[in-house]
Amino acid sequence: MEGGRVGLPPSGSASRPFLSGWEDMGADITSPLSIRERWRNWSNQESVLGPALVAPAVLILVTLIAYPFVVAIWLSLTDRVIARSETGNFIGLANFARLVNDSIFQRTTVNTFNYALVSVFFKLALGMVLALILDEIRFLKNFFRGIVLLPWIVPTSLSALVWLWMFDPQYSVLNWILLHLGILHEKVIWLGTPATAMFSIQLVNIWRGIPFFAISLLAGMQSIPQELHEAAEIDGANYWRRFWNVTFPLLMPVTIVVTLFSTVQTFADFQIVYVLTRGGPINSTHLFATLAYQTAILAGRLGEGAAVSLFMFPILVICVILQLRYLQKQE
Amino acid sequence: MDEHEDLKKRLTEGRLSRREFIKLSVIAGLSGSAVMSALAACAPTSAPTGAATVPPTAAPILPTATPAPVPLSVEGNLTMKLRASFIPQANEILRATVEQWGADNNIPVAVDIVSMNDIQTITATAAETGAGPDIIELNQASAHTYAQVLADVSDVAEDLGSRYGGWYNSAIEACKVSNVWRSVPRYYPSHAINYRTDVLEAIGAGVPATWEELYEIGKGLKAAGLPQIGFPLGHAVGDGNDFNYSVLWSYGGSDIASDGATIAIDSAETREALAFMKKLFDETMPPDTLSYDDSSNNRAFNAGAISVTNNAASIYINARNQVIKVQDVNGDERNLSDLMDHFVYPAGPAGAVTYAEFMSQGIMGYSRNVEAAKALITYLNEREPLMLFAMPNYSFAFPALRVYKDDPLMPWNTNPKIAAFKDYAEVSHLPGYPSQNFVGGNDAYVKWVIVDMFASVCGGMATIDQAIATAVPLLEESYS
Repeated sequence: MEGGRVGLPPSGSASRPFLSGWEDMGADITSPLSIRERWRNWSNQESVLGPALVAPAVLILVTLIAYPFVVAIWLSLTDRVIARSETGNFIGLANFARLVNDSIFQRTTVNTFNYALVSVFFKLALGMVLALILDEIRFLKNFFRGIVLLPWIVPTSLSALVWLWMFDPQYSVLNWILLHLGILHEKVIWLGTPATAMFSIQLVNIWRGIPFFAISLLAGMQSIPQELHEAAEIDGANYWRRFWNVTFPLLMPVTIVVTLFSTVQTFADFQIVYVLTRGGPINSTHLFATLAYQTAILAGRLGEGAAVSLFMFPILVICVILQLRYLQKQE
Repeated sequence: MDEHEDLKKRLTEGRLSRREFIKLSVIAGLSGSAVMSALAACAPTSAPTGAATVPPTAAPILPTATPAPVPLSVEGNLTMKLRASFIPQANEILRATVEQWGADNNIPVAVDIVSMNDIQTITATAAETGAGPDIIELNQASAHTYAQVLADVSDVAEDLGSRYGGWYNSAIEACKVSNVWRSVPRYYPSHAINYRTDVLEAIGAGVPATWEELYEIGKGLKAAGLPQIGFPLGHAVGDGNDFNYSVLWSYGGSDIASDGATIAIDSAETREALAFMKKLFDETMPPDTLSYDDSSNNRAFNAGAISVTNNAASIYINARNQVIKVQDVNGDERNLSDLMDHFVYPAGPAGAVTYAEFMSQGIMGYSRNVEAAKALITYLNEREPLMLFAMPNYSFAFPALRVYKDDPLMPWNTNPKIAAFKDYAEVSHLPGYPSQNFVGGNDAYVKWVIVDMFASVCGGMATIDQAIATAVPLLEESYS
């Protein structure tokens, strides 16, 4: 076993048949390796160990993501209806063509872009402010950082139920506070009109998403060398100049990745809308995901529902491509 | 009062926990007849204070229960998903009844009681994957949608119907597909208009017979500064559909013609219904009704914010069981249940045509326990277990078998405050009415086409013509 790590074949032997490895390692040929040692040698080869370690992740991706995705694509090209054996016929792009002219789908498309873009913008802006505040806090630093994460940690459906009570037409604590502060003179029907309902679901999404932005950006801020801030300060830069000329540019990689990631998630949001409005009033809060659920599961039109959900796909692909290209550029 | 008597009294009042129910069953020697005797003895006392007892309208028809033969074993557990009642005690008693049946017959049962909003999802998932519970409680006419994956239960339905006075027409329509029973009718979560007697009396109003009379009452309440009328215009699965479809139909409008293929929503009758709803909303209702879900109107009524709404009897029963207090028109604190009563849905120009909320029980085709499932469904619809279920549920669960309408023990025959629920099953219809295209009706119902049509006009988001124009292509798709 001279000259090598015990149990590991020398470099260059990775692709050889497993029985050849022990000869190269200078082992005593009069005392051949046991089956267990041969197995260890073989399995420790890079060409074997690498795929073996990746295999579970690949298996999960294939079974839980790739397979459903392929099935969804196939379904979207068929007239499949739940519990109807005579359906499932290939109809090409007919589902997509029909959706383009569907008034609910058109409304849903506008809703989804409105919901995602407004929510992500405010999550980014407010998350940045929160990160800057947290960065300055020295007293009970960990406590505040922990408590800020609460909206992100609580299960979405649970927090949405709490918000449902806060938006309740009868018992809304928001109305109570705003009326008692004199900001409102009559109660707001949070979930009763298209404008207020959209505002309400965006508010919940923003509330829930701010911690993700804040903590991610905070981590990015803390990786910025302190010397740069000190140098700028010596040069006479005030707080805002230091933020715009030092912090913000150096934070850009984190900001872009976090924003794109959040955009993907927000476009595909489901739970907040399902709990708060079920797409109402008058379909004014339907998103692609909730409409796909209503169409495929409640109405049983699997093919059409799959087509609704796949309309998201190009948008999400663009986000992912942008994200990957940016990361490659950074490398 | 000894413990046995106290348990019996609490059973009739719907205040019995699951543990107590089982205890009572044990005391009664696991005999349904003994429990029924207790119910019979206690029935008159179940009327609320101050309420006169209504004499039974007909002699009871009490066939002897003949439980179906039960197989000795099942594969795994016999599993069932049932819709939760809004009255918690009913869920506990139902669960205990099923488990007791399993214990008696040495069959492991797993009963899961889920929210009404989850039933459709569970059914769709089970139908598509071919795996899940043996028995599912189906809502509305889902038996038509899932006919191909449901077992034939004609023998059970015909047997129960022949022994218990037959099924209501809408129950037959919902469950019988191409002459084959695909699910066994169970109950109607029957609806009526819930109202505050003191509030209506304060403006000298009686019970309205028509929607127009109700509108006049609503104007009077608003003018007097009293709690207004409030009907759900949001995505309320039960109450929202119930109210909006009922107004449409009672004005002679409908989404589909009787041929099941012609979209009929663009009509003078629909316009009249929309115009009525618009003035009802603008002049009598609080604007937050646009966001009411199934529980919002209950909460508003309990809080004294509204005085008239549509609902099952769950507002009344929970108000009584939980002793909910409310200020009456004189400012005195009173029990809400004492200040409540109900009346039937008002009539429109086309009469009183009401939307039916309806539940049936289907056995999934993939089940390997079909015979055991049939035996359990049969048992649950026998008089004794059904009475145990219906008593705490009061009129929330109105059995689909006609014999119970005039049964002297049934709550609607003993408590005048809920007598209004008695004829619900006779006058109510399922989405798809007046045709037999219940698959299309179900599609339009889950997409909220009718509710949204009314809400968009009431909320000022669309004119009457715009609302109808929006609904037409959606209905064409649903009924295609």
